[in-house]
Amino acid sequence: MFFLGWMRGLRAPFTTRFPWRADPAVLPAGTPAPESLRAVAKGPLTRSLAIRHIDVGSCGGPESEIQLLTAPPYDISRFGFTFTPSPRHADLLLVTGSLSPEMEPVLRETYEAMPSPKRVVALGACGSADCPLARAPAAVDRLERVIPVDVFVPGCPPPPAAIIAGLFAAVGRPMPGARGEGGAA
Amino acid sequence: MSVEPTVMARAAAVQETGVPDPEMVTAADFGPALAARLAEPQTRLLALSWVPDLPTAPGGAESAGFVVAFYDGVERPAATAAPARSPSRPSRAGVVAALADERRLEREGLVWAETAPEPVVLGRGVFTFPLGPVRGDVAESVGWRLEVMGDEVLALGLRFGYKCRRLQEQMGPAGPVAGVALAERVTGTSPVAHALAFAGAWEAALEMEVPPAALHWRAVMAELERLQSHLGDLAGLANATGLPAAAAELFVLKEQVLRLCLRRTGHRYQRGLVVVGGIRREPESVPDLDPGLREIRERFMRNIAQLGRSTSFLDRLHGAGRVPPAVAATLRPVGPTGRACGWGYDVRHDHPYGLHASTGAPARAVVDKGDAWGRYRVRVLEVLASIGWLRERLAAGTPGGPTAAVGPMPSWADRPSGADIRMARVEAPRGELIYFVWPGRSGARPWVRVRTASAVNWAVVPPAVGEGNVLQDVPIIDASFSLSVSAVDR
Repeated sequence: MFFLGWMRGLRAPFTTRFPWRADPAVLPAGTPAPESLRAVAKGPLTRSLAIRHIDVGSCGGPESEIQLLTAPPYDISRFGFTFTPSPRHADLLLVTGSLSPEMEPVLRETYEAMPSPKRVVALGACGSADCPLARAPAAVDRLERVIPVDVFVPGCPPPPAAIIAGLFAAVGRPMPGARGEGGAA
Repeated sequence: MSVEPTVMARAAAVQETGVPDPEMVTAADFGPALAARLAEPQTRLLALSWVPDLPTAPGGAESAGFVVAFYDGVERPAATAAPARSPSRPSRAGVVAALADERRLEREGLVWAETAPEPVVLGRGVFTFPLGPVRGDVAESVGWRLEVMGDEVLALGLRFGYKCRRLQEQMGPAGPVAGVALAERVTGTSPVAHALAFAGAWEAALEMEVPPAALHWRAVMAELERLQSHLGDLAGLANATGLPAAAAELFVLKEQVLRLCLRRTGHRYQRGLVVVGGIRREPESVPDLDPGLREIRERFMRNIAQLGRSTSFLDRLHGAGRVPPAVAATLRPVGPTGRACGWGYDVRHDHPYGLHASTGAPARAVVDKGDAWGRYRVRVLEVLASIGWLRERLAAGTPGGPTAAVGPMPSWADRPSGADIRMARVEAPRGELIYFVWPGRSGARPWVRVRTASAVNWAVVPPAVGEGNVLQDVPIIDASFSLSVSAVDR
């Protein structure tokens, strides 16, 4: 089997001819990704995924709960989720708090730094609509008018179990055990 | 290579904005003096800060009082020179940030509130290491500007204001009933302390009597909150020193406390229970609360004993992020940060409130090291003291009777003392928390100001980081202080 694959590679090499010939699959830096590539973001993400957290005006409560996600009681690494320091390595953005004007450009930049396909999970009541903080004079706008939000996780702060459910909803995967297969409980 | 870095300090926010210098009012004539000044038509209160009188301070007590800044409608030119700083001058740490905050509210534009003047360090081989507002790990948004030469950190500037939510501004008009929910959201991990201070200030303004059952449950809730906050801080410190196993153990204990709180009050962080005048309802009695606390104590002791034998842990803490004694004496940090510097100020002992006034408080924990180890040690001692005190209180039984003041909520308008500013002090997990409530002149909307412990304690972080530390120490120092950003950007 390996040999056959190697034979196919002889006819159409995997290495791009990019600098000499135009290659639609290879984009120089700074070029916006074409719509066809962005459309990939619609389906479920089945790989292991890296999470980046950004605080756009939270009280510190969601951060306290997010830190517990990696602790033994919840341990999201068993589902393939890890935290990454850089948005450039992240697939998922966890946004906490009501958006302040100062954080708006930072949020936009962080989102744009993430490679596609990517998903956004907004944590807490203050990220969505009906919290007094979302109506505060400091809150510039609804979060989803700045970046596309896939899932809002309610709660003030949302407990770790709700965050896990939100992560699964955002990547479009069923919760382990939800279909009666036991999962990694 | 001999390099002499030149450190130039930019003028602080007070000088830039041309606001008059803060005045000092002694605690005794605080209410009347302020009321007299505020009766002048043009005068408006800009900022308030409280200088703790420290009966347990090393080297004798200094004068105590409030630092008050007034705005009298007269624009002054910005001062060019820094004012002379005498050692007896009270702390301006909180005032500078509060003033900048008020000015920001006044204008539409943004004024960056910084705890310390931004350092400008010049010299060969000196680089600026910008960090934040989006930085590694799960952290609140704040900008760190580290001036480094090689690995050594020469200076640190902190930039706040990324996530100002203007809660303080809304809290006054919201009034005593709806305002509690806003107070609980100033710092998400210590909502009980904020609700207690908010309720305490309003109860003083409205002259309400809180029934003994409510005082008992409030104190129990506040100590449970201290437990979960300290356990989380210690777990973060273990994480920062690269000990995930110890961090996991401590996070498990924190989760246990949170689950106990959930079963007692219906909320993991015990929000929504404190109201002005008492508590909304009695917490559910959880039969395994006392065994649970005993188990948490045993596991905690075992874990701490193991940490105490880990030289890789202790080596990173000893001497790291030491607050210079002169800085601690001038800025007077509060809470575990202050108690780790030998300044044993603890509101529960020095100005007892609620249940602490009648039945005492958990033992005061004081260490005089001032470094990351000192702050670690103070938190460990406080966790043990809180568990012991909680079990003692729960064993002593609950006073019966109502859990909230009965009758309709009194109106401040028909109080004889309605013109005074009233305050309440509470020992939050991170230190002394003060709420000021001023019902206002007749017809005016009520006014609430918050002075959090973190707003004071952030001021000692730059001098602690910028003295004899390397870049690799910074996450550990940050975790050892474990201060709240949302308490500054409130």
